[in-house]
Amino acid sequence: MGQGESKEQNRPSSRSSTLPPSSTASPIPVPSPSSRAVDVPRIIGEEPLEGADFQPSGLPDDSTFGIGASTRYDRPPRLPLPIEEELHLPGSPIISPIDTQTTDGDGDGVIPRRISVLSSTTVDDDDLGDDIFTTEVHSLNAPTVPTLVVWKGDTDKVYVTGTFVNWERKIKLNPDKQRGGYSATIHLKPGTHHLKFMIRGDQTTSDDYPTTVDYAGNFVNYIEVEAPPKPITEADIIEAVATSAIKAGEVAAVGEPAAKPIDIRAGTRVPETVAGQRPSLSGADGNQSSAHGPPDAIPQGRDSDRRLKAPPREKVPRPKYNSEVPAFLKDLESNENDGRAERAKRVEQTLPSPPSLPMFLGKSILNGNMPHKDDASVLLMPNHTVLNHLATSSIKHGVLATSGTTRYKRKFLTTIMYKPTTPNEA
Amino acid sequence: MAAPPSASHDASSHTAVSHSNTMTGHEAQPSFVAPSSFLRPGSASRPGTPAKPLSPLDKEQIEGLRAIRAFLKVRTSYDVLPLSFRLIVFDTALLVKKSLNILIQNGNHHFRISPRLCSRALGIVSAPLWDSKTSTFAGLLTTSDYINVIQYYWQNPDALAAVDQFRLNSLRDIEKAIGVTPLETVSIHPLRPLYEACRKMLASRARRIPLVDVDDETQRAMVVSVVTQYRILKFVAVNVKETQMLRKPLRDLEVGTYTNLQTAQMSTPVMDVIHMLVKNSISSVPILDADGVVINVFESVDVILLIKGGVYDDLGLTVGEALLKRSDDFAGIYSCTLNDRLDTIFDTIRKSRVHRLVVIDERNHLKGLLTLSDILEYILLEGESPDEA
Repeated sequence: MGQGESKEQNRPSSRSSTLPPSSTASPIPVPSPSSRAVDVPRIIGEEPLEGADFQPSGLPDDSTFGIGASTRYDRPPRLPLPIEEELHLPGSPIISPIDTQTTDGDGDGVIPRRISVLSSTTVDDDDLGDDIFTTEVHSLNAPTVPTLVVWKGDTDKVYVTGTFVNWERKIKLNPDKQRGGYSATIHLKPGTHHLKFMIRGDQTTSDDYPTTVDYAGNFVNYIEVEAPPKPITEADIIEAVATSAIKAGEVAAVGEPAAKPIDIRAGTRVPETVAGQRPSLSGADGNQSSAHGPPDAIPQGRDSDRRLKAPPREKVPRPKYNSEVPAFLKDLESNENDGRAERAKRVEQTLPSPPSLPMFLGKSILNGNMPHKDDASVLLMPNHTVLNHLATSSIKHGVLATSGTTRYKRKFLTTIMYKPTTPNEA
Repeated sequence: MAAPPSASHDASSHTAVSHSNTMTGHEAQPSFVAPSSFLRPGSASRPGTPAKPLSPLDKEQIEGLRAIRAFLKVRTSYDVLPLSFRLIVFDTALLVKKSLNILIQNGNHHFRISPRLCSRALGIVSAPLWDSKTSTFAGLLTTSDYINVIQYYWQNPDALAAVDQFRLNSLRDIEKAIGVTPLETVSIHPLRPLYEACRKMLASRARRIPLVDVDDETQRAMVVSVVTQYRILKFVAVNVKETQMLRKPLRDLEVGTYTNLQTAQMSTPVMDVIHMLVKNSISSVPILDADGVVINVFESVDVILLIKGGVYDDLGLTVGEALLKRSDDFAGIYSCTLNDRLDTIFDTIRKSRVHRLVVIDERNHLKGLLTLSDILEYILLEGESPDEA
């Protein structure tokens, strides 16, 4: 998938707010990987989410939310245009009565509501288990989920519009004899959709659906559509193994060649993750569960599975840590001319380099484009993987700026703190 | 919205937005309901007179106000916040002059890699303060603090060296030294209704209010954001279509200041203008030419331009020279006439960063000044009895 593909289709595959806790597919409260010390040798099935943090090459866009992000939104905010042009009608969520006279669902001219953007870079972990990326890929072509949209209340005509039709069309809700009120079944792709109801030409929000605010400050309802459960494929398993193994390899003790951990980890992990997926897929949607299924719970016999499940739970010995500084590091600094420094440098070169900064952490949303020229406090939606990381700026004129992005309820708050580097000067 | 209100309720309670004769404040004063005869000569006996029948225009206006108030009572400050937003916080140990630079830079998208988007009008003009010694929030830094620093320097010209080294934690001392009552630091929880936030702001003459919550991990107070009157009014303008029902012209409303306006000319020393700002607790001074035509407005945010870089030499300039320091893409002064109505004003608020409108006549002479505080006060309180919460 590429950026082009994401442009064509609505991309509600992720959302601007977190799943409400009471989703039908019970999400397992997996502790975020960042808050747990990574136990390298003893990776258990609880942590398949680690794979979620790592972006496989198949989806390069997820990391480039600085520049490429605009293509991932349903309706990219039209940055070069001044704000006057964005809102053609008085009060952009308002359609003037003339426009709503069209009785068919098409082209009621509410084109300016492009601002309702959803972040496609925040992927909620709860309902997208291990196959987080495959699901994302699939969601583009995913079969849409017929979703019932209900308006309770007495009125003549009810229409609904939203991001799923790019705010350009309205869909009529028919009177619902059983439930009262009006309803319609709309085929929606999995993800978050903003919507608003139109009663007698006026756009309103419904009290029956949760509300949020989009980039333009428009007050809208939203619904979350869950992806239907999908059968696990071999590709998924290999993906899960690879991503988790690579992550494990990254934190492996210095000195271990990267190739080795894959086999061992795979051996320990796959039975858990596969077993973990089986029971979850049999019932609920593709949520990962923390069950350590016994290896023989794998119903399908596949060569890779059998091979890997043979050693039940091989424990890799923990690397031993101590607090003595290796001699060669001290020698590096040595100024004596007995060749120790040179030898130390040579030793240093044989060491593997430390892992580099994951690429999504390299692009702070503070450095990105401003979605709103006029409002300097509005930022792009952060990828959830950068939350709770500390970023700093270079020290200028004795002032250090540090910043971190956290969630605040369902929004994201980036706090930048400016501090002097020498508080007691003069 | 429900049935139209009864005529008797509203006509008799057309008490005015307050501008008592002694104060020239454009902002709200605590006595909200002092009757005003500024716009309606001969209506001084109005509070006692029986109700005049309401025109459809009046009724629509009342309906519009009701709808807006209902919206404000339901929505919270949290709703106004963007989905992903930034908050700038200053450590109180920071030097005042450095904090200035940071504010200016953040208006210039400081964190951008390409500086091509050159100087803009100031994007951010205030920031919460954090005292790292006590790990608590220590108030809000606003333009009035910078004005106070200037006042202090003006009164103590020999103290330049000290002024240069002022840190943000000495702002309270400066206020005491120049005899200014500090602005009350109000704050509000983000989930309280917007109506409450607006009432608090109006009561304390603050033009912005920090949203304070308790961090659930550390149990400490945290500032979530600072919400300004502009942001709230813009939120209303975007989301409440009933703003289009406010079609009474300004001349028939009691909103804004029309008497005892402080003005200056281009040749007026800028310090005099700053003194006017402080003495009258106002946020802007219209600049007129010799014929009384409005040619500019000096706003309190412009003082930041004066002391950019910690240089206080520019305080001797005239206000005309000081205004030249504005950046090239300054949006300009917004004006309107007495025929304009709040529906179009809300439109303007929605589309641009308006903080005040100069009310002029056909010959561009100054008639009055309409600020966001005035509009907010009118929206919240017009037609309501004084003790209504």
